[in-house]
Amino acid sequence: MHRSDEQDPLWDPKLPANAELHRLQVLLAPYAASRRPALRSLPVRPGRLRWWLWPMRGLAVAAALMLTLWSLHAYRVYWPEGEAWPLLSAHAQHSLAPGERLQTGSGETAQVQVARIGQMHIAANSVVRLIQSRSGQHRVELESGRVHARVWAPPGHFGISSGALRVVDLGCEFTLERGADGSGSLAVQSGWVQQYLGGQKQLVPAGHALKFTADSVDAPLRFDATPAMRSAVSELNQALRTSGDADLHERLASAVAVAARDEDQYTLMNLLLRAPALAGGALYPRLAQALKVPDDDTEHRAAWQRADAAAIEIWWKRLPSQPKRWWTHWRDAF
Amino acid sequence: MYRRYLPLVHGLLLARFRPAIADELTQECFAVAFQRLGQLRDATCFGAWIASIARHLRSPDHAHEVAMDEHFDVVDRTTDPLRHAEAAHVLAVIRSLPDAYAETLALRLIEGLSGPEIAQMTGLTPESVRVNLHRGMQKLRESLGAAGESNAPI
Repeated sequence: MHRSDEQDPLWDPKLPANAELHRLQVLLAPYAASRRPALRSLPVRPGRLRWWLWPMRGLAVAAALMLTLWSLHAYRVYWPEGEAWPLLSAHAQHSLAPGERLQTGSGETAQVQVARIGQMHIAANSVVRLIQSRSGQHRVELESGRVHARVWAPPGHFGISSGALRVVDLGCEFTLERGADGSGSLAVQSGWVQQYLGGQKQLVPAGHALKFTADSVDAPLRFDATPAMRSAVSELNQALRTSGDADLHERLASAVAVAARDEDQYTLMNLLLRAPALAGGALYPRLAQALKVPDDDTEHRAAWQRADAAAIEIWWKRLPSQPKRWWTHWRDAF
Repeated sequence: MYRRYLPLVHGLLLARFRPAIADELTQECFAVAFQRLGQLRDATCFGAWIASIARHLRSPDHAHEVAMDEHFDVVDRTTDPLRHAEAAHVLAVIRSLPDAYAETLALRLIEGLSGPEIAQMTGLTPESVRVNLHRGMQKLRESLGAAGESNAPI
């Protein structure tokens, strides 16, 4: 220790200071850190994120986004059982509850909210009845008239029956029309629908329409199918329903193959699914050409004629759009 | 840690910058130090290490906007404005001294640290601190025109 430590107030502030030192200390005291308000809290500076934290932050953002989307989706598809659907347009009725009918008069339309998964536009002179409504299961019956539905939900949530015909939404937009005699039409504007009649069922993709009667359904045709194609398919449909003449079927199928364009591939596939035996004729190579696959695979052709599911699946996967990708039609959500 | 070394960092910065800028750079210094804490090998050298960071800090770009006038840097505005002016003048004189003297005087006269505390925190030897204190005080007196007032040890 220094000899003068005990007497040096400049060294030890606890010692009494002389006048000059005391004056300087008092004068400068306001500048001390303990007197500066800005220094009372810990420093906060938005530091640069460490490089290895970037992926974690990305994951956190992705997780938050996924959680948000999942929550929105869960909210969208949830609907209390038996709760009525609100009407979005002016009408004598304000809502449509399970068991209730909604009827529109001449020149009158109605717009109904389908739970939280979509909307349904009911044309003039139509009668619809809400059969059931709960999360994942919303069913309507079209007794007569025309309904246009736009639904964005997982497959099977929404369906319309029309006599013996049932149409189940696979995440799509479609129009269903039914006349007084039970015949009508179905047109799919977006996505896919699954259509049932009796023990038969078929998928109908966007851009296709079909006609049905009280007990039969035609093959779907493209909206822009040529008159020749429409006529050929209609004749083949009729023959398949009413005649067991295989030669007649084959002749009419050949006419369809001649009238078909490559874009009609789904109609060709539908006809070959309805009557797999037709794969022995002109429809098989025409569909192969449309799908750009070889038509000389005799094993595959024979398997198709036996309605072999694996053989059908190979060509089915060649179709440009697939029914299980309902979420790709996200625009229908708005 | 912040409270303990705050007077050291602030005092060192007051020896170079106006108070408002010193306040801002004090925060900056600790933010940098906490970010680089992993680089400190010996925890007992924290004082010397953070002092080194403080000495390398530069005036912020907007320094001219932060404190155009030394008078505005004084916290307590209830006292005599003349005293504020005098304090600002003494502080400016301290800043004009060589760094070794200015730093030691700022730590002692403004922050109230003792000689041993200054030595321990900065890593300087007590002898160096003592020399800097007394020579710095002498220079301050001369600059303030009070050199002949007293020859007695303060």
